[in-house]
Amino acid sequence: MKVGIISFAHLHASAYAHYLMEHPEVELVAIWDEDAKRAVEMAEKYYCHCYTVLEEFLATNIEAVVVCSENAKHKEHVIAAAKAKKHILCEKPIATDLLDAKAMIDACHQENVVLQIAYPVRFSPVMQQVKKIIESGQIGKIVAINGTNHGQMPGGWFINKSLSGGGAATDHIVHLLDLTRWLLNDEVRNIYAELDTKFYDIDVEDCGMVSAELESGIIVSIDPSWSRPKTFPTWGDVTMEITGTKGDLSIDVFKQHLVWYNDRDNKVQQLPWGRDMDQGLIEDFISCVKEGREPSITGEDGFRALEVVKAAYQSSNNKKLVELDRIDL
Amino acid sequence: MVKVAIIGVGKMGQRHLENWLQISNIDVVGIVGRDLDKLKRLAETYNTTSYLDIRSLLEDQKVEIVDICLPTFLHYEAMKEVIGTDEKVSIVCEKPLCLNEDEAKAILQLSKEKDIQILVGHTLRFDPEYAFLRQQIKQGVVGEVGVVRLSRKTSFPGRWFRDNDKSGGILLDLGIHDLDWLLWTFGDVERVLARHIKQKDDREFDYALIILRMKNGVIVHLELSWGESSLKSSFEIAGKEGLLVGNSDSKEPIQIATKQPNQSSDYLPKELVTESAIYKQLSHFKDCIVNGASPIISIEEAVKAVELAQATIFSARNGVPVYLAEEEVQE
Repeated sequence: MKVGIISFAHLHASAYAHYLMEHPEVELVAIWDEDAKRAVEMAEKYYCHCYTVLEEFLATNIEAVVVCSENAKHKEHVIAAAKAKKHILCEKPIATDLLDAKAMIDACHQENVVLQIAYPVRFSPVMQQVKKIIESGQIGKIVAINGTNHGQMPGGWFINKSLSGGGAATDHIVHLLDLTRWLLNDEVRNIYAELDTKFYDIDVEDCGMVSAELESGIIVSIDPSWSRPKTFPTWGDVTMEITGTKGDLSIDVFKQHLVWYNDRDNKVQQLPWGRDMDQGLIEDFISCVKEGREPSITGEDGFRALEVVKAAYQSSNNKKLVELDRIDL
Repeated sequence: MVKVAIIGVGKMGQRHLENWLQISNIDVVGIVGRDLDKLKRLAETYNTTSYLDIRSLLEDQKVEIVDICLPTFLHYEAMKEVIGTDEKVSIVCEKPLCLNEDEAKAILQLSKEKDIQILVGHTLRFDPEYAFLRQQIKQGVVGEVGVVRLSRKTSFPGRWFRDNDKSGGILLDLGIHDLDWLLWTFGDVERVLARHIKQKDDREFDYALIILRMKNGVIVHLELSWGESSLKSSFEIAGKEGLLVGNSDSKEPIQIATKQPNQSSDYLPKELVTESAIYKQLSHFKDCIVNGASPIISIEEAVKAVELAQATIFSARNGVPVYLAEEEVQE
């Protein structure tokens, strides 16, 4: 299967490229990037053709594309790819605007192509196991989740609102929210958020705290803050404390690591050795295209997460609890 | 010798009793309780006199300090009775000061009128780790603070604690530790949103997730649980120039491994290699009462902690953020 990548703006593109190369049934043949220098560089690195004109890239015989452009450009790139009948794996968040997201979903539906949203944490062996434990009923009925998705401040276009759609809340609420929806098959009923810019002199929020109640009454906290200092030994974390009627689960997705006291660079670092979740995501996307099945993470999954992010901004701005008014798709 | 009497001989009362006996120049002259057998046994063991109520104690002896270790819902009446006697008796009271804001404010008023000192046992102020943490924050080791995460989990206390009308539930009884520490460290709270789960099926426990916005802008997340097997606490203070983290799982310098697994579900912290916070607290209170030292916690602060806890209870019950400034709830 011939696959291409649209833009290396998002860092995850490199990991996806790596696992596309490793996949026995995949050929990474083309890269498009509006940054011509980056396009050439990446094409050399991954031994493929580079394009700076999207129409030319989409006119090739690739079957599927991975979209890793800036959030605000997802709409343009996904719709163009759909019209060219390419199946699509789109980096999260699906878009920066709900109407954009809806247009993307509709376009893919109309052109009958796969639209999968990249929530790789679902494919972490840790979370796969967590899902099994929850489904086994071992910890009973779930009543609460206390989650964190911390990070260091990423800089670059992530802090340019017109390209990213927002800061830490846009970047980091969606992962935990998607995990929650996936694990519990539940939706958010209402949300409360305190968002702010406390750590850096930037135009988007860099921290906050989110509290949600799900339709079933489960209570959820999400800390999406870019609150890891520059000296933190890794980029951030994904953790969940899950409380059930019969027991609790304490999850640290990236706990499988070595601690490296690195005198060479004068820092302490974590070196993860667990299976890379990005590999699972790529394998799932490829098999989904091959088998022509529904994507395991749909456009709606991306849309619902974005809906909650938008409600979080609304809550934080108005300092009120916001009831979710879910749009029919 | 300063004469002390302890009101209430439950788990906490006995703990206080043992700690008072270690403090110099203190004479525990009486204990008050309802359980005759227990009273008799304790009075013999600790060589003190037992009474069935506060009045008979105060009629029988001239006491300088009473230490109230009763269930929370009895604090108000007990303090009122002590304040109402002819003699001036200083009061040490187990946290929280009272069950609700109205009672707390009434006690504040009464204590002012009669110029009685009331010292409330907010133990985290005497906990070496949390006191040191506050000091480091104040010294600015992480710069301006942005986000704070706190967690406190203990076993389900059962008994009178399970009745909200007696204990105030998890938000008041357990939450007040961290709420008071937050007020002490960062100042007043602007608004709070709390979510609370009370579980009866399968296993009985309480669980709460709380978001607070301090007046100085700091955003706080507080997790509370009455569903752990033992006390577990953790904190994370993120500032512009760094991050401070601590976890009770990794603070014991000595780990004892025995062949038999320890089955006890002790909900009080073990204190290895450090003085007990209660000993430090009671020594400090004695110092305040006897030597006029200025208290680490004022009664006004104890009232404020009750107010804040009550705001979290209101928020959890009604599903709305509660603003502390106006004292009124806003939709």
